[in-house]
Amino acid sequence: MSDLDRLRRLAGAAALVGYGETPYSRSAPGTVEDTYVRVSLDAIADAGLTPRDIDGLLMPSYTALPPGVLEDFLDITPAYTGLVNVGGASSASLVMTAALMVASGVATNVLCVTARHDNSRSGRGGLALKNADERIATGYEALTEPYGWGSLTPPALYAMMARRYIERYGTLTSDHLAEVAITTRAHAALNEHAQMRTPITRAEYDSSRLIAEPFRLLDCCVITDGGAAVIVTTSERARDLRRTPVAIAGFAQGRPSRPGDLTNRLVIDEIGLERAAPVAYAMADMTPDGLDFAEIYDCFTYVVIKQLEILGFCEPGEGGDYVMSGGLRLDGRLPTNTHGGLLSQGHMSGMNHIVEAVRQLRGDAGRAQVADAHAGVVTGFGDLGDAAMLVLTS
Amino acid sequence: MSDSVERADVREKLGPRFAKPDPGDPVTAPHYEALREHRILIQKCADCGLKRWLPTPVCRRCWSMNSLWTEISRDGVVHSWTRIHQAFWPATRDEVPYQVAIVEMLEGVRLLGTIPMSFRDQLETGLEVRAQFLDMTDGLTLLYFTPSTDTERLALREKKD
Repeated sequence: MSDLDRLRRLAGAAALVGYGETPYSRSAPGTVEDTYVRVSLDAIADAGLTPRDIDGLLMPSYTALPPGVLEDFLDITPAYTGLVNVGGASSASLVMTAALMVASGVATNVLCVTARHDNSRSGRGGLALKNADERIATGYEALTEPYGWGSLTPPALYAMMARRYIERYGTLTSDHLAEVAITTRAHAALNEHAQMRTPITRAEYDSSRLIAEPFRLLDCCVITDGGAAVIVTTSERARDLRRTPVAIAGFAQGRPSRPGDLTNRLVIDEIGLERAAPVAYAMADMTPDGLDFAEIYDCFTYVVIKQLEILGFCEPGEGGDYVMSGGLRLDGRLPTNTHGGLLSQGHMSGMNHIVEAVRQLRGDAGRAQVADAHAGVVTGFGDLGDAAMLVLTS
Repeated sequence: MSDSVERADVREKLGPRFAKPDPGDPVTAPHYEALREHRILIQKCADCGLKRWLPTPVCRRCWSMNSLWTEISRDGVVHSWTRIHQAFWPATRDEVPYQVAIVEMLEGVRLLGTIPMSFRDQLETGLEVRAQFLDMTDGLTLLYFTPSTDTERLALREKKD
């Protein structure tokens, strides 16, 4: 149970003061090590710092590069180094952890960094393994993978959630899903770092191949080479740095019940955001009406609709109608995934959502800039429903 | 039965296998050994009696670490499902599409299994199904589900009453 009184005292105590981001692509130059270093240096320079100023390092647990190796490359010796293990919720969770680190005095300038060369590593996203029968599984995997379903088939996991959502609310049509895909792509078309910038039509959505019903190819995020990093420091120190700071007003992490087993979770489409959102809103003293934009983790179109409901932008079961009213668009009720999201900008584990929120709040979001953007929400969504949420303000 | 005929039968019922269970895994071996005898075993708390699946080292109700294996029925209802068209591994290209369902069994636990494509038009949430056993050539038996027959449904209603 969160201690809201104590949390509220930390609202705005930490700030995002720098970011680094590569273009997102199917094939990045160099190695993933190069990308880790590049975005780290860029974020540090953007903040007006040098690598020696970094005394905290946070990376997601699935990092291709152990933190010690990055420390060796940069020749830094952080007072605290940590890995966060909540899948796609890790990026927002890194920022939350960094805010706690600087607020407590454990560290002063924390580098949060992620990079992945998933296309280059696996060859067009396909797994390199040729013969499934050569894999021997134990535990959970031994009970799921023999049936052709499990950690190797992410769209099929989320399809199970979507099916329960459809069963409960009697809605979630291809119109709803297509609107998320098309609008997100339209935003990516405005973003110079985006992997997919060609607008898509409804006919193209409808003719994209089925992956795991109800999802088509264009309901699924891209697989990406690239990297992104941010720097978190105290708000006092942030005032002396070169960039306009972005305040971390609220944060929370949340897990669904039975986070490791989707099949026997009482409510299969339960997500951790149901626990995280009330805490992050309360900490930041924020309501949905106070937000100017949202960067919502979008590994699949459906999870955007689900999270919009949990975030309070519409009632449960009404997310489809909400997006059909143009709610996600730059001129809509709440511009959402203004960079093109995981669906079209790139799958940088949601660190790209945090970078975009910083850009919006600095007024640097280019053609996707939301006028008078002073408050935004970022979500992360990992594995089978893990969540992290940030409320950011300028 | 020739090998090729059997392979086709496997694909039609079960789709691809991404991995084989380790026969030496104490967590899953009792379940797979029972499947080979065409029985379904799940875990049960030895202290409070709560039936549970997937297997865990501890009861979520009383936190007892003592557990037993107990046989359950073959009857259930489709709780959620998807039809998979993507060959997530290149080696499974010839095995798509296939259908996977999460089936809520009479006893309350949910099992994963495939639904043969021949029942494509019947597959929906709430469909009453019955577990079937497919013996693979390599000594492994897997579950698949088929829509319950009228006779099976009637027998089940009588049992429930």
